[in-house]
Amino acid sequence: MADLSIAHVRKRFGEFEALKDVSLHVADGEFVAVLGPSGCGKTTLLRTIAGFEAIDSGTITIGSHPVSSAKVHVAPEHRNIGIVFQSYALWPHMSVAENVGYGLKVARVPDAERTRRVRDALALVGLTGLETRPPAMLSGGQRQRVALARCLVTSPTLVLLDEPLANLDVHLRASMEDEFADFHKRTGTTMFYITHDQAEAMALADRIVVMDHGVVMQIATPEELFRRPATEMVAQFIGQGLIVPANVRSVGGGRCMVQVLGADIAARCSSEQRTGDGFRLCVRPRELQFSACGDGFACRVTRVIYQGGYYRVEVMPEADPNLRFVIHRADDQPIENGDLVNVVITDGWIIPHSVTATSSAIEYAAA
Amino acid sequence: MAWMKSKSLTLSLRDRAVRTEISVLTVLLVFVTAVAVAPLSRLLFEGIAPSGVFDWGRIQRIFNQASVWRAAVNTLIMATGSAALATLIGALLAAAVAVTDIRTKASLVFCVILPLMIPPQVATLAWINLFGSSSTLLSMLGLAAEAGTRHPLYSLEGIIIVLGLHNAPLVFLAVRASLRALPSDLVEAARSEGASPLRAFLSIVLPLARSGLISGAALAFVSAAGNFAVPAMLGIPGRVPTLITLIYQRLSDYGQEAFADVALLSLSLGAIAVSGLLFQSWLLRRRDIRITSLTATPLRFSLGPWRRPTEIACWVFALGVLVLPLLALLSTALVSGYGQALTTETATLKNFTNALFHHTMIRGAFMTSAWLAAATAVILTIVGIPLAYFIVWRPNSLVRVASAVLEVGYALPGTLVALAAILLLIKPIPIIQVSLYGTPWIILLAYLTNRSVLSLRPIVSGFMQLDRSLEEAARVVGAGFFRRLRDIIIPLVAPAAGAGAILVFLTVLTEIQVSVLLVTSSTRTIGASVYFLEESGATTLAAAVGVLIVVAVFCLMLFVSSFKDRLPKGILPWAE
Ligand SMILES: Nc1ncnc2c1ncn2[C@@H]1O[C@H](COP(=O)(O)OP(=O)(O)OP(=O)(O)O)[C@@H](O)[C@H]1O
Ligand SMILES: [Mg+2]
Repeated sequence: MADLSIAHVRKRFGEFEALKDVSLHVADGEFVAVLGPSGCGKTTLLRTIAGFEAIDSGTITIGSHPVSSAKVHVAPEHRNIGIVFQSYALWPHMSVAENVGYGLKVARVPDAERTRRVRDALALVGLTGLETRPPAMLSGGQRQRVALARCLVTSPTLVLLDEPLANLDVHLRASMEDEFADFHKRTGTTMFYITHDQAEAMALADRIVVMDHGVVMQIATPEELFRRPATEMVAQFIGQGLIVPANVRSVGGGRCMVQVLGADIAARCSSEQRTGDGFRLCVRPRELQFSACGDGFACRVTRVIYQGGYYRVEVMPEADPNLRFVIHRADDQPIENGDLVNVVITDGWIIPHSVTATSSAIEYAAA
Repeated sequence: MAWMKSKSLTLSLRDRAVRTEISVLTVLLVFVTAVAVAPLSRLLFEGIAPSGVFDWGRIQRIFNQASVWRAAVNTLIMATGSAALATLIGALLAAAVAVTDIRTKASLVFCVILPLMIPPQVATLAWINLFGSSSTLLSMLGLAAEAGTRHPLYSLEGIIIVLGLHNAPLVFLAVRASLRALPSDLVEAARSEGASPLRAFLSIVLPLARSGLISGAALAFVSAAGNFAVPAMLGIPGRVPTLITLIYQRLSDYGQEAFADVALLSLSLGAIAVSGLLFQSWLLRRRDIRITSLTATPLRFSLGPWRRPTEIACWVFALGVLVLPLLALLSTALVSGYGQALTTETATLKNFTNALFHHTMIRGAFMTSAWLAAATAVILTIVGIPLAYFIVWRPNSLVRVASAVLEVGYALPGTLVALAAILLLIKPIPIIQVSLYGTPWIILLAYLTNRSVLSLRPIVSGFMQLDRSLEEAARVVGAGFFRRLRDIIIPLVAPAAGAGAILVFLTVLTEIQVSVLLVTSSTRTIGASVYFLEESGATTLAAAVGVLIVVAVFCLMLFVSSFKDRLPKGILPWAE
């Protein structure tokens, strides 16, 4: 087992820069998920770690071995990693046992030991008894488990998984998620797990890396990511955060008073937060409420969608027609398009690295 | 490819895995250089600057000869005319098979494609036997022309007809492929806008089949321009010179002295062939119509009352073109003297027993062809698998150039490739001082130049249907290049590679275009023997050898078809 360090990695395909100065560290035995919209460079990152793609600059270190840099490139076959591919990549001309045992055969592990280790690996993923089946005669979940057993049997220092559950149906996904988590607990393998499903990442990972356009946006635990998003992109990508312009009036002890759409509210902020104008506030749907007593700000209902048990209500603040808020409302309180309502923000999070905020904060500090 | 950049190349050279791959790639590139780059550039050099300097006056002198002019014009007429005929026939048959509801398609397709697999010298011999004044078949029916009249096929028209029929399957295949990709909803959309079936066919199907028509026609043109057997067997007795027969005759009359002139003639023949391909890509430029449709239902026009007549027409044509000449060939093979009527008294198996057992030249030629075909198929498969690996999964500019050169070697007429091989090997190879000229090895070299694409293409398509991660999964568990090749890649591309090897074997076994310039009295191929037997007047024996070749080809095709379910789709040209 080993840790994984990625420092300032850049990767271009021709003119297109797929990874821009990516740095991150995965501790020994940690389960890290990489999350991001399609095309943001997740697979590319995984392939550079695996060694399928050379990098243009930066370094990748597995354990104490530098495996990729502008000068060094260790071939994938010499990195002692395991990969679970999205397509499973089971060799159709080999049985389950041959698939799982192939890596040991390549490593010239003696027959008796190989048989034992293959048996153990198959037992670990619950496939005992299917040794002689060809992959074509397995279900999707079983194939996924064979792929997992195959990648673990060689005891790789690091396991990379590229959207391993993307091809499975919803129910199977949930049970495989549990198995991955369980498996990680039992073996303590370092895992680097790529997905574009937030719920999956939150359920499995110790920490989550959020990427966008080849850049790492934030690396944090699931709670931190949800409660304290570092950028607007993270706020919007995770948990449907809504972004509102906000002026910070006073700060102290991780809380602040902000002015939003003419109303004053209390919100959370980082301990380095300064007062100033032009900040952005991240608000979750559950941090918004309809107000009966006329405080908060006035909004017009623009859309109502019934979602089973509650309405998803979209409203437009009268003070800023470009904004839209989403609020959930119990289904025993019907509401119609065009209704005028009052909305209060009960909590929120001031995004720390907002570009407009930095400049005004500097101005403020100078004054 | 990252390591093509010189910086990363030197850096990654330290890695054992990368070194292996570079060595393999180097071997492959050396192979391509030896079999394609070297002979073809030797020919180019000999044709343009035989004495080392470019001499415009010499080129003018050669092209000012009336015989050269006539041959070039005839070649153009022959190639264009037969391509037009092949396109007409091939497109109609393809439309019938691909977009109508006629029955018995599978066997119809087999019969339509079979002429493609029958070597042209055998087909021509069959046509000669069918229509000649000594036609055994026609004299049995009392229809033979009077003795002494000129053979109707010994003419430019005859050449065009035989070549057109021979190449029609090429167009058929190309048009069928483009029609097959047409989903039914495109036409349903047109019909729902009120277009009649005919209107829908003309306005939707035809434009979309355009690419198939054009590339099929171009293939037929190129194939006709480079065909040796038909213009030689019909044109030489009929006094219709073409470039290819001119090359052949000058070489056999003047030998080495004619090399420079003949090389230039070959280049102009090559230019005609290549111009056909260039014209095709010009016609197909930018009009790359991507068909976007989600339904996979193939298009079917219901012919209604016209179905039966269409079926009959297709079958009459297919059988007329296939069975009649073959019957003529068979009946000639069954009599002892050409021109005899086939009766219970004259019928004899003597020609067959002679061909099979008594004639040492024929037996030797058969053995030579068999091992040459096998060696070509095996070598091209061994080289083709790693080469296709690089072409599909590790493309870089060197690999692209290599595959383009191999394509050129395939597109150029076989006779031209043979001449290139002669020019390269006529002098002893430096250092080892061995001359391959006059040995089967020079034929092997020319086959490797001329046929590599035939084996490479199916392997490339096999790779394209493979999930790349199958190989990557083997990499990450530690398997090196050769290990992956042996355990993962070869088993997975084996069906495609096998199909390619069989195509190579089948076409090399009976071919004449390449070997006709390379055979000597001691080294003959079976394909060329048919021609030489016929030329020397042993028509009945030639017919018997021809029949045996057809039977052998037919059996091999059936044999391969028997495991077609295990082959990637679309690899066997004759399978529906
Ligand atoms: N071999 C390549 N050549 C050129 N561009 C590439 C190559 N591989 C990836 N890219 C580009 O790099 C970007 C990132 O691709 P990548 O596959 O890493 O995305 P991803 O985050 O895995 O997306 P998805 O969630 O859709 O799998 C994309 O814009 C893609 O088009
Ligand atoms: Mg991806």
